[in-house]
Amino acid sequence: MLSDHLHIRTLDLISLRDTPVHRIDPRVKLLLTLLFSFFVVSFPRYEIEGLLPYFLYPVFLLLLGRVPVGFVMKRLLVLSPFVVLVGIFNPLLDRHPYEVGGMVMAGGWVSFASIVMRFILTAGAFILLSATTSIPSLSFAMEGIGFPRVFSLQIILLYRYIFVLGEEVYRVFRAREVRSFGRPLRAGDLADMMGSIFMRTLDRSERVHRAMVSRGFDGRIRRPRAGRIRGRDILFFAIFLSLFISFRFYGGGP
Amino acid sequence: MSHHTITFEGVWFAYPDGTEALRGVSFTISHGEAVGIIGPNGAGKSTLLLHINGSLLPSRGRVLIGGLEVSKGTRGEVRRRVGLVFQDPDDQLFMPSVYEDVAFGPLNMGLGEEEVERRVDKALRWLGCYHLRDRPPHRLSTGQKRAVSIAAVMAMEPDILIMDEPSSNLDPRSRREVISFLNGFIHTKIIATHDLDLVLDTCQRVILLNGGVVKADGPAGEILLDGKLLEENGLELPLSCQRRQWP
Ligand SMILES: Nc1ncnc2c1ncn2[C@@H]1O[C@H](COP(=O)(O)OP(=O)(O)OP(=O)(O)O)[C@@H](O)[C@H]1O
Ligand SMILES: [Mg+2]
Repeated sequence: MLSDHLHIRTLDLISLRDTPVHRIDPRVKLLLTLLFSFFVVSFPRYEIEGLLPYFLYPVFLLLLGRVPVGFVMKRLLVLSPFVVLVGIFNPLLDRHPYEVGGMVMAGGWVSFASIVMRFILTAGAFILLSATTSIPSLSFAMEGIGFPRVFSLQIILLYRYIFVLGEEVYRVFRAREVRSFGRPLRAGDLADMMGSIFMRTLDRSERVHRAMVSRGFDGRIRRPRAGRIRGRDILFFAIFLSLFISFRFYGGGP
Repeated sequence: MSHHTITFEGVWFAYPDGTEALRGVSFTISHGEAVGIIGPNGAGKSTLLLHINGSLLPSRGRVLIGGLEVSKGTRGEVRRRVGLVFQDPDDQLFMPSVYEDVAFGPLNMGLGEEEVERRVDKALRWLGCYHLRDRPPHRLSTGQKRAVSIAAVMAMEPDILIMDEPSSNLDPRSRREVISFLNGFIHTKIIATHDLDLVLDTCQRVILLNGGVVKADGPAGEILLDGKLLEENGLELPLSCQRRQWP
């Protein structure tokens, strides 16, 4: 099914678990992760040692959120070609000797390593964020910290209906399959199927909208019990933010 | 006039593509009545229901809810009184969790947080799905989805309850549960369905629709047992009233 192809089910399963990390307010997690990336990126280009302490944050999310390591690795690997592309020319262009931890290396290699570390840290943190926060709460969190409302509405509806539409696409394909008697799929068939899927989607969206309006929808989704940030959210935020700050200003690096 | 009466006065409706789905429908349903709307596929049942809460407006004629004419200006008010449960619960449940979905209507009505919580809890318990409150709707069975979609409407405490095909795709037990729920709802209710046995179990009155026209309107006990009338309109006697022939 479509939703399986998008690996949404795996993410959905992991992100709906109940752990201390999952229970932290999504807005707090989102904001902290944004700040975390900001700190990580703010280091000078040759920085290696100064970045090391920052692994504490993703490791914390990973362990307490009980996210499978493989889940994070797979996604990092998928993204890695982009980083390699960004950093691969550094060793060629920058041959100034540079000293790290007692060893002298070409500056280009050091900055390349630094880019890879930053990538692992920031991309890892966002992957972990998405694995420990359900997609809808994440989109509400975006709204909560100032993103436009249409975004969150879009994401919520997309997330909800990707499962339903996935079934519909599957049904259309299966309907063709049982009548095709093994005949290969031709371009014309595919166009018909796409047309059928499109019409179904259109009908569906009309019905969904009608149902929402019937319950008083006026363009804004109101949430129950949202908005209360609890003591432990604040504690989590304060502890990590002060760690990020002290790593930045006391732990090496100018 | 009571909040709970429904009046159709010569209602015509054509879809944008020209299909005339209702052709002069008139009836009055008074407070506390339970009415089954029956008719073959394409008779106009769903179209009729969508007129009761102003989702569709008549091309000709009027619809009145408790004396208030349904129009663009009044449908906000009308929707507070009329709860409509759609045929496919997937069309209705869109929030990330059952709890939030059931709270969606009451929150839109501008109720305070405590009142919302009280109503959501009550509705979920009534439909026997309190234990599902934190689950995302896309992970529920069809029967559970149906129950939640009914709870979502009940939490708005409507004066009039309308349901489109409440028993479709349900197994016998979930179907029973829907029937006993319906019998527990004492206000006006209108049910469009092909399940004539369900109508027999829950409604005193039946409106038979065919080709957008009311063909019969009367006590359920009479219409549902009139084999000739039903057959003329593409229907059959309720299963419980058919004589089975064993070989
Ligand atoms: N969105 C639409 N656009 C155009 N025509 C429509 C639309 N929806 C329904 N119709 C047509 O209007 C007529 C009445 O449809 P309606 O859905 O009200 O029937 P119904 O009695 O609910 O049928 P069913 O038992 O199949 O649910 C049918 O001829 C149908 O084809
Ligand atoms: Mg219908």
